[in-house]
Amino acid sequence: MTGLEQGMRPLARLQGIVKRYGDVIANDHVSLEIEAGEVHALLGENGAGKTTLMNVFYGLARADAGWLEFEGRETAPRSPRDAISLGIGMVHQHPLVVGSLTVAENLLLGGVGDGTASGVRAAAKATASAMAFDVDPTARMDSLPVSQRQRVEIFRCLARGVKLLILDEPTAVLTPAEVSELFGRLRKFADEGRAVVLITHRLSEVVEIADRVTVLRRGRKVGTWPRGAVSSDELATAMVGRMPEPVARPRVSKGIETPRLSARNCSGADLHGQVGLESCELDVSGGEILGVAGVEGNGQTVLAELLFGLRMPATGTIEVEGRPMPLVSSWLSAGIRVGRIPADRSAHGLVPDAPLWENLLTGPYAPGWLSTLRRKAAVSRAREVLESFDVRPPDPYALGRELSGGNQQKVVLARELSVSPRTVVAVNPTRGLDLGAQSDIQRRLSDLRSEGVAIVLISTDLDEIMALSDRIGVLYKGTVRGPYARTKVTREDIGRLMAGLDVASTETTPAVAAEQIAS
Amino acid sequence: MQEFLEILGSAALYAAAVRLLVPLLFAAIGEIFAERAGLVNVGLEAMMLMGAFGGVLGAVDTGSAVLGLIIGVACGVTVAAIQAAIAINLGGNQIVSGIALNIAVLGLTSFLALTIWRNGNVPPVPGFGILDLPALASIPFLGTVLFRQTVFVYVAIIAVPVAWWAMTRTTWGLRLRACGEDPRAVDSLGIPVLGLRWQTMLIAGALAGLGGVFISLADVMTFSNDISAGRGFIALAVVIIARWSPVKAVFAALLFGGLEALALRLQTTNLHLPTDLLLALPYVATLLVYAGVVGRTVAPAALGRSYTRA
Repeated sequence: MTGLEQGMRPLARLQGIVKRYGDVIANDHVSLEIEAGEVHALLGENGAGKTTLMNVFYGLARADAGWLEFEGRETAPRSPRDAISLGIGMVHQHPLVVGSLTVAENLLLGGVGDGTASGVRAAAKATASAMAFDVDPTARMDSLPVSQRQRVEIFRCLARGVKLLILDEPTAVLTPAEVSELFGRLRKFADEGRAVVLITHRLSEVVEIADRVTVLRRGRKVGTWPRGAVSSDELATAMVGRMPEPVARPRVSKGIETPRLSARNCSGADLHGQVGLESCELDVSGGEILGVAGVEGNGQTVLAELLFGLRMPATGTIEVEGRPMPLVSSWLSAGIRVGRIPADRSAHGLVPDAPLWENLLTGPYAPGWLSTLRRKAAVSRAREVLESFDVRPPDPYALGRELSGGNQQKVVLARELSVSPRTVVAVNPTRGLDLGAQSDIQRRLSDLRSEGVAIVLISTDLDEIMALSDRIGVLYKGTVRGPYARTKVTREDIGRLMAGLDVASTETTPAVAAEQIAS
Repeated sequence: MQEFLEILGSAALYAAAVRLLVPLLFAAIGEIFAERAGLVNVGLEAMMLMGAFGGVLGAVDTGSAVLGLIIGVACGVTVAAIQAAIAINLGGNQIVSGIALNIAVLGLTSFLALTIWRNGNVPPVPGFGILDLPALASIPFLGTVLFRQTVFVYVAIIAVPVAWWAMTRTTWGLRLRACGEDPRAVDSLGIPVLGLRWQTMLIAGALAGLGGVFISLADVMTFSNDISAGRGFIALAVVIIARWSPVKAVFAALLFGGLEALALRLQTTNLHLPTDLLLALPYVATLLVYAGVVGRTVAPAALGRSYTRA
């Protein structure tokens, strides 16, 4: 009888959860029910409050209002310890394992094994067989690829016999094959009468595995639907609140005037032992976007460092508006205005621990050394800029790290564009951003082009390159092939060039032909 | 030259070295616990000094060296508790609070010594005498060096393997090492990070206090201003040279203790050797280790960073 009663009750319930961080509401009266035996997807853009909601359940964050129920009993986890003893496990977006300890030690930390060295080794062996992968129990955790670290973390949860497993964006670090393997495992886990919450911003994953999906948008719940009740389009709308508008079609470059930014015969070694740059040629004029496609690790880092003025090319020259480009430290005095959008916004784009108004003052655009800082004016100007770039929250005193990835990128853009650059170099500007922020930033770049700005877009996202570029060059093993007019090449052509193959539909450059013959 | 070699070969030199390394070793082992858990405890000097003072105060008042020892250790723990509250719970800068404690305790002990013992005339202190270990003490040379010492030396000898075992062979030790590497990961596993850090800080206070008690109740047998004379800072250097290993700490402490003993011996001879330079050698070694010239330092990744949940 009790079994039947319990069967009717959800395994877990969150009721009216409110969580505030300062003035920002991360969760605004969110309620959620999770049934035993289901895979429940929690869908939403970055910063929608998915992780916060689950952190509340896992005891990593305290709710300001609302209550939780697990197996029919009200609960209020004060720390992960409470959540763990209830039978809740959470696998975090960035594997929370101790890198300098071994696999076995990490398992022991998680309460796996009986505390003796041999017990731990046995547990590690069990991991290997249960998770069907080879792992050396004595290997240091940070020597393993991220996907394996994640597997150890998942196993650690399973070994504790959790009833509810929460996974935060687990697929970000996995290859497609690993994803389908993980999903198979989660399905099996749910079929055993336990439950999985899958935090994701990828629609395809929801369609693939979720029994039910709950959509969060800007801290609020939009709705919960069983699989198949709503279409992907409807889910996308629920997620972003509006259909992402397609980016304006690229226009064919007028190709007038001298190039704004050009690289002639540039070479440079990679400082991290990756592929360097060899006799690279490119130029970009006002009012066009030059896309630089290519698989990661084909010289993008060096090219970006050169165009950002972080180092001088070993050979060749880089010219900006007809003059040789100095290192970035002299840009201000030389009157060079090149907007720079780096690949790693949290490491190179922003100062994570500084408030946004200070972040907006950083860079080579800060006032000269004799001018004093007028704080009030800077803050009020920051507020305007943040609002016009739709940064959420538009709070000048918020710290860089408190923002979601998309909003961080908007701040970088706001800073770089606030001095009206005539040239912009962007490296993977939308990587890791959700759909809304992605189309926002792409639209900004497209608008800039219309205003006559010259843009170099170095991106590993082929869709982005194809959508935005007027001309497309392809980085392959440190040289730029092309560029080709966007109207003259297909997606497949660029794909072939990225793989080092020849293009069927365009005329073959001698260099490419020579390489073909050589290989 | 003859005289110099004689000194180098004398058991008395090595016995003195062992005696001088004991306070360093106690403080260093305590500090290793704290640093492995992610705490930089610059207040080590304050804990030693407070321990030395408390030891004398307790021993004089109660007439018992053992009670003095207990009071001295408690004094070290008290200072550690202040540092723990600031560094662990309030998230204050650990180095700044450590320096502040050092200055405060230096002033406090001087003031108290002056008011309690008029003009600093400390009455005779019941201290710890030499305790010969039967049989072992009669071993030639080694017996004199190791086994005709105060009880502190024997405790120190035992403390090293115990600390090593606790750190590397117990779940508790694994957890505290993980705390020093990645407190967020540890917290997410339901292990109380702040509690573990408190434990290690109190251990550091107790052991530093014990080192202080050794100085005042077993070595100098009195209290004078700044009696710890920077040994807490030397212990910090010992930790770095020993690369956070209690076993290596013995050798690192011996380096400092040995050179100090040698310098003291040389001053009593009419050899004109620059003893000050000799005393400077261990610090040069510390700098070299810091600069990465001698081996790579492998400090705990989260050392000195306070942990709070988002």
